[in-house]
Amino acid sequence: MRPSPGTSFPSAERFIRLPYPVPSVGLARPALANAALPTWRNSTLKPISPFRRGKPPLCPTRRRAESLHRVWFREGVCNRRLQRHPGKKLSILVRIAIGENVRREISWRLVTSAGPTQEMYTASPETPIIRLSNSVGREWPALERAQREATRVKADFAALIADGVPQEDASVVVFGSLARDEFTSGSDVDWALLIDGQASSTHLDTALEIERRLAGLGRQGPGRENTFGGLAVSHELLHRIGGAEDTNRNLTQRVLLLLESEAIGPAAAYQRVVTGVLDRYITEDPGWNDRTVNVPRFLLNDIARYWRTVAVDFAYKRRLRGSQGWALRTVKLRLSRKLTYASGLLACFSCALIPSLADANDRSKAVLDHLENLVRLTPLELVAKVLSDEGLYDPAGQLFDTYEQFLLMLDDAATRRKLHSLKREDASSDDTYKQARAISHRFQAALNAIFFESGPSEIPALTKRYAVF
Amino acid sequence: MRLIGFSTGALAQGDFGAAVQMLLDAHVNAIEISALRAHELPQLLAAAPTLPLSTFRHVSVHAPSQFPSIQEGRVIGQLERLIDRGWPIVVHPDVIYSVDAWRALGSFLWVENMDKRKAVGRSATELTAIFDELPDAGLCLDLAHARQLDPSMLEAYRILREHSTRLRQVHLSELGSNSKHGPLSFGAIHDYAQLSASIAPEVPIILESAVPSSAILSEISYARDALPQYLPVTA
Repeated sequence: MRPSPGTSFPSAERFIRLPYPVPSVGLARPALANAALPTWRNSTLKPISPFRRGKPPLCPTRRRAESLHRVWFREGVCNRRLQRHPGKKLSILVRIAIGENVRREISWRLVTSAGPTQEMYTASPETPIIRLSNSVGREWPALERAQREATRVKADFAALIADGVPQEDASVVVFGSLARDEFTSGSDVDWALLIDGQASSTHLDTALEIERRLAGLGRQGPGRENTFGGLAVSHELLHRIGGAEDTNRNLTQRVLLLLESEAIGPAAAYQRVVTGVLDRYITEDPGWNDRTVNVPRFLLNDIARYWRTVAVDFAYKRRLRGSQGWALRTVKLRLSRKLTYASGLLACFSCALIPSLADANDRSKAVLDHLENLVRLTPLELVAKVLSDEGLYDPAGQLFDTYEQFLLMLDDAATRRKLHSLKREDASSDDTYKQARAISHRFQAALNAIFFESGPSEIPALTKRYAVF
Repeated sequence: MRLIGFSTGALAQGDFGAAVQMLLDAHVNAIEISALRAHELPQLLAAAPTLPLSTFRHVSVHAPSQFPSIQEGRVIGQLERLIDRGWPIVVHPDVIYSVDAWRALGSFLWVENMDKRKAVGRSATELTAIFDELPDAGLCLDLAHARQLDPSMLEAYRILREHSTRLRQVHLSELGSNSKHGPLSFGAIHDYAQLSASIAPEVPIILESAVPSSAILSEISYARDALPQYLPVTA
């Protein structure tokens, strides 16, 4: 591979998302495995911002840089100096872009002695959650810790599977708390090897090897229902939407692929499948395309079907397993699972909240573009973004406060053990469970305020019109 | 009437003279002369004055897709002689080693978006970086490349959204998983038709489908299905 021309910095760029810090990802970039964290206090960094030449950089401090939970890579781009002096120095151009609306661009040149590279790192200091946190004047340290831990685990995972996954035809995809950036002690690593290419019997060998390495890392694997782990095939996800062949597992994988998933390592297959699945929902939605409705109903219905499936499966597991793990499953259903559903609803409703989407000449591609960007966010980020855009700061703050308390509980090993072993008949008198239930009630109250209470936002009207029937 | 033609390389690899004759026999109105291999460029230069191209309303040239950087200056010099004939040059961005040298070709330089085998110029974002360095260049949109990258055609939509003012030519074909250009399939026609409203009728279409001469007209007919002559009327 050779560097591409150009060193300009277009705004609102999209990047291939890889875990942070940088692992080796199998291409000719071995030096990146040990690359230092990009910080402006690091003496090897020389800020070269085109917008702030000669002035101190606007980048946050090292502590804040370390708290960033995503690092974005842009493949195939190299700066002009590397082109002019190939091989003289390694320059990794680090750009800091802020959210989707780039307000500041700060470029860094991280100088090391390693070989040539074509990657750039970008990090997003003001994610939707940070923006909300600043707006409501509150912080959520447990959430921040969970994000950092998720980032670290994803980096470990990426390092494990480096060079082992086919670059174009497959992606290792994580789901659950790891993908939501809510990784706490005791969290599982839910993953699947997503295949989108020519069939090969060696795909299973790859999946088994990943499973073996993950076990060696000391990480818990997928849950008992085995919805994840092993292979997921794009054709099943994309072609079997609805109908008898759309199994519980297929529906769950497909909806969670959209709402809470992330690729570890090569992401080309993952991105194709996500876009392909969204494309099916949109192009086959006559109401949206005929401009008779402003919410993509096909997608909304499948998200709702997923939520009801989760709720019904909860009853199934309760019957199958009795009290075993019941309390912990209950709390998760009321909080994290419900959050995922709420984020899916808001993703669909957001299509009606943006006038330019409704008025676009090519509505299907415009909304596909919008949704494809939106589903790159975690559920919490998506909720934070939509609610901030709608000015619903009070209920959003309450929602995040209660979720913070939930994560604090989950991260406490003793509390988690207590909830896991609690019997149903003892729940009403158990203080830990009562505390968790109270958190879930406050969480629901925040959701009620968002989705049902009249106010300046159209969300309650959209809920009434689209979310029930 | 939309200009629809063929790339000579699709009809007769390495023999543009034979391909020109095939297209003349089929009364096609647009042509892209392929000099995909570096050694074909001097051959084209030698033949250019005598090629029977007067009946074609659109003529473009595809630059070599692979050559070492040391030959870049010579290749550009040869291409400039073709530009003197008024023929624009379609180039793959991964052979642009020295941007300054290519910038001299101005608006006669048309950059083609790449397929998944390449590391540059595949997406709207990557093309933006290229056009920032080559502000006068046009775009040759290869829909098969864009579809290979993203079968939903979202990336093609983004490329058109960001760079529609630069659109000068469209490449049309089917691209298999082996990245070889073949005849249009029903699926490809359906997918390309989604973007027909975003492609102005005056933009010429160049087919890269590897077909025999007997299939030229039928392939052009399929291209018309994919990208109709008129923009659809919106309600």
